[in-house]
Amino acid sequence: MPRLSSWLGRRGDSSAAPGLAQAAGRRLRPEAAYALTFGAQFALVAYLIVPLGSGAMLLAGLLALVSVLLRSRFKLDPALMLVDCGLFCAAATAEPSVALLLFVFVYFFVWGERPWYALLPLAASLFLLSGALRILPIQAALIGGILRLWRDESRAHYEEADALRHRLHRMEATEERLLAEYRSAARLSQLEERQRIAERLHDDLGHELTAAQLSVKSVGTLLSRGQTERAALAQEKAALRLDSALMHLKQAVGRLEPEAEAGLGALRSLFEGFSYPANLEISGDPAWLRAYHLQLLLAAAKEALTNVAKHAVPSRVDASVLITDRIVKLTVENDGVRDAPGERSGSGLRFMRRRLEAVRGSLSANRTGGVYRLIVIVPKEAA
Amino acid sequence: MTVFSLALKENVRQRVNLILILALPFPLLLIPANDYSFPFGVNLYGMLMFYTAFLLARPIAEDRMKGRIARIAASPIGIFRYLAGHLSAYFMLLALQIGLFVAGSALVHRLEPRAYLLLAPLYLSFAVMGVAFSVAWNSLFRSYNLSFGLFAGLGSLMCLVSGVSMPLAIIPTGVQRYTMFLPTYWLPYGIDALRAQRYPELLLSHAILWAYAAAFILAGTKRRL
Amino acid sequence: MVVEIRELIKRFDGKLALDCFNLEVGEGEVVGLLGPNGAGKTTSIRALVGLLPVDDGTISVFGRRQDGRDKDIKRRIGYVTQELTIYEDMSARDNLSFFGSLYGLAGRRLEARIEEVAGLIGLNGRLGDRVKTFSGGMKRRLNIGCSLLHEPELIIMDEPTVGIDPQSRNFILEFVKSLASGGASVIYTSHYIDEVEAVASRIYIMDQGHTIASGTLPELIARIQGDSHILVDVRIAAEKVRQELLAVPELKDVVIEENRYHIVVPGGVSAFEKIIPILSPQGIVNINSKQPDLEDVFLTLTGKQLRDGA
Repeated sequence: MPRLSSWLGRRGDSSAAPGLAQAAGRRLRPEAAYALTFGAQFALVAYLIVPLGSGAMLLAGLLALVSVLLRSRFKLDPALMLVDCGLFCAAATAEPSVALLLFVFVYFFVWGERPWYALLPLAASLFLLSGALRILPIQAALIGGILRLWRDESRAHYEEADALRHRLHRMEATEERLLAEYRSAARLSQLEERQRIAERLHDDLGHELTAAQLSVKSVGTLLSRGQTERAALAQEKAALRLDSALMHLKQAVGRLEPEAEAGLGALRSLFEGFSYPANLEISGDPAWLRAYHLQLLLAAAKEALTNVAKHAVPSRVDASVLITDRIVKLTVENDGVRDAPGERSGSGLRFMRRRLEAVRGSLSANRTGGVYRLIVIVPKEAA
Repeated sequence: MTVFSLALKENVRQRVNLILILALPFPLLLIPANDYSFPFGVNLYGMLMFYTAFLLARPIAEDRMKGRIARIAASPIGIFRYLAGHLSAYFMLLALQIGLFVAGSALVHRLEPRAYLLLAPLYLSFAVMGVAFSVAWNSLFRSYNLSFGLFAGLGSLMCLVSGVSMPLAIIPTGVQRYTMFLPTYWLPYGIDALRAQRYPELLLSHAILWAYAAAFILAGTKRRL
Repeated sequence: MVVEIRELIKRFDGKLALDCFNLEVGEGEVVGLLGPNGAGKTTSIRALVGLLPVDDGTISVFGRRQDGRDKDIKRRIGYVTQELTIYEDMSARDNLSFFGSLYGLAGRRLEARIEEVAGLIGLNGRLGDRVKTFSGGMKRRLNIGCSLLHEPELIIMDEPTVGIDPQSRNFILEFVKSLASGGASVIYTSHYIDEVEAVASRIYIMDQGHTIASGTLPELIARIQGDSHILVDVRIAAEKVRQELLAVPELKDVVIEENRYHIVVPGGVSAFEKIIPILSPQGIVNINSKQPDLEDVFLTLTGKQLRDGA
């Protein structure tokens, strides 16, 4: 079917005859409205010309049309349109019916860049036309003005959208850089960690163990001398030293049992507090879990549950955290998925995936039938 | 190979075009004359020319419909040279057809020089309008077959109602009032004016045909990739 | 920098076709533009060549602003369209002659170039024949040849190998590489990953009007952290066994493709010793380990398959 459909603000269709309902459903653009109303006014004037049966009027009408089409086809100086307008005004003084066509210039100028130019054809047509016909240029000015306002607002809307788009793009670029730095920071913090451990081992542990060693040796000496009380004291001291050393060791290496327990506890309460029935099984030895492992797990679990709440009405949510010696794997499975299949993963999951990949982990989500399954893997070593 | 020679070659290769240009004008000459007007073949030739113009305008339409316009627009040639090349090729072929018909009419109907010397330019103006109309019409479609199919119907109707394929007298007056808006109306109008030696009216027909042509070309060549 | 596109935005009737699109092409580079149908590849190409006005952003070609009217830019670009935009009823020579004349070539120079280009694209003996009689591959080659007559510095090829036989395809790929070594810059768009991998030194992956990743092939693959894919062909695959496999903690995902288990494992994780005992009872026919490629990169980045994107 004719390309008018695409001209009217609908997307061009490769099929032969798009449905009328479809065409009606799409938004009308101000430019299309401008052209349509132009055509309507032309048709009205044509209808008025008919009784005159005048070929000359038809010619004048065609020339006005050509004048407008010329501007829509090429970018010309708006002042040149004034020349055209002037010629028509001059012709109208000789032949008043031509004044019927001056609305074209009123309409054009009001919509375009120099609205004040419309005063010339407006004044001329009001002067030369009589009675009810004066409505023609007036309504051209009004309609042109309204459409112009509509177009300006529409443009402002798009410009704002574009500005936001640019910002979004720049933010995404920043996000990329931050993630890259996150990756290297993770590596850096590991090195720092090792450095810290080495220092503490050297300082605290070395000191304590040396003292303990001396105490133990003195116990032997004291016993051989028969000074049992002092030997017992020395043994106590040694024991204390060793306890202290053990504590330092634990601290230095940062055993996370308390930390891990707190982190996993947060995970548990997250599932317990969920609005739908959810259960969480945790298995494996959480000893090697660091703060950032737990943080990622927690964030992923939150994201997963948010997703479930948004896109499903589940009768069950089964989650498991499996800790092996190499990875920790979080699986969240739920039924009652509501949305249409084939929907892309939302931006929350995408961002989560990128955070995980920054530490060589992964996120995968899929759906079989009505069951949605999310698998998150965080490896022990980041790089 | 320039744009002009390509357009020419594309049209000359089509046998239909050759028949339309070289053969079909002649049967029209057989329609007898009467005392008060030109032989009706003079009017009817307008319809033949209208169809010929449409078929000759095919290469431009196909360039757009087959996507070649993208490659052409990407070259430094510029839309004016491209259009000029094509349109002048079509026009040349139409001028050939007009020449044959007018010469034939002059011989067969023994028209006076004034008649056929004024008839030829009128036909040429009509040809320009016809080509422009075809270009604009084709720009509305994606498939040439659909374009031509609808044109065949609409074109016949236009020619019928405006006095090209039927004498105007037969058309009811109620309809006649509106036919002046059809571009095709202005050929028989000009022919009548020519016959009656009303030269201002003849000039008016020329002006209107050219104005239509300008409007059609401007509307039909808005870039549509 | 031969081409610099920054933050390009283009709408069609309110719908966004290009969304802050960026692209850079240096001299003598072959840049691949990869993405599913509808991603915006052709739109971005058309904007680059000056056929489309854009809503926002800048395009600079050969250091000049592209506004659609600069003839000097157009004279230095060769655009090979996605569709076959040649005159089928004319001879190959006529086609080359016409398209050459569009770029101002004429006379003896044009004749000489026609012969040269015909040699380059391997159509020497068939210049006088009508294009209608050509095979698909020959038509594609002619389609390319028509854009080379004026010795362009930037050649843009929009999916030049759609629907042709493997020999012609290889010919074209080799040809593209030789163009680049001759000093021209090439932009090559496709939704065939193997082609882009073979030809391009840098790749842009595009989806929904936006570049979602760019870089050299090794860089892109490194980004997805090297998931490994293990493909195990068995006699008969069973859902129950798949569930069993999924219970293995190291495995990221398991998909059944007919009688094959497609197992995804994160990089650096070895899982063979867990997988094989589970699958042996099924009768293992073949085991393949697949290195990640662009298809996987695309899948990871967009959650879609390149093929499905149409």
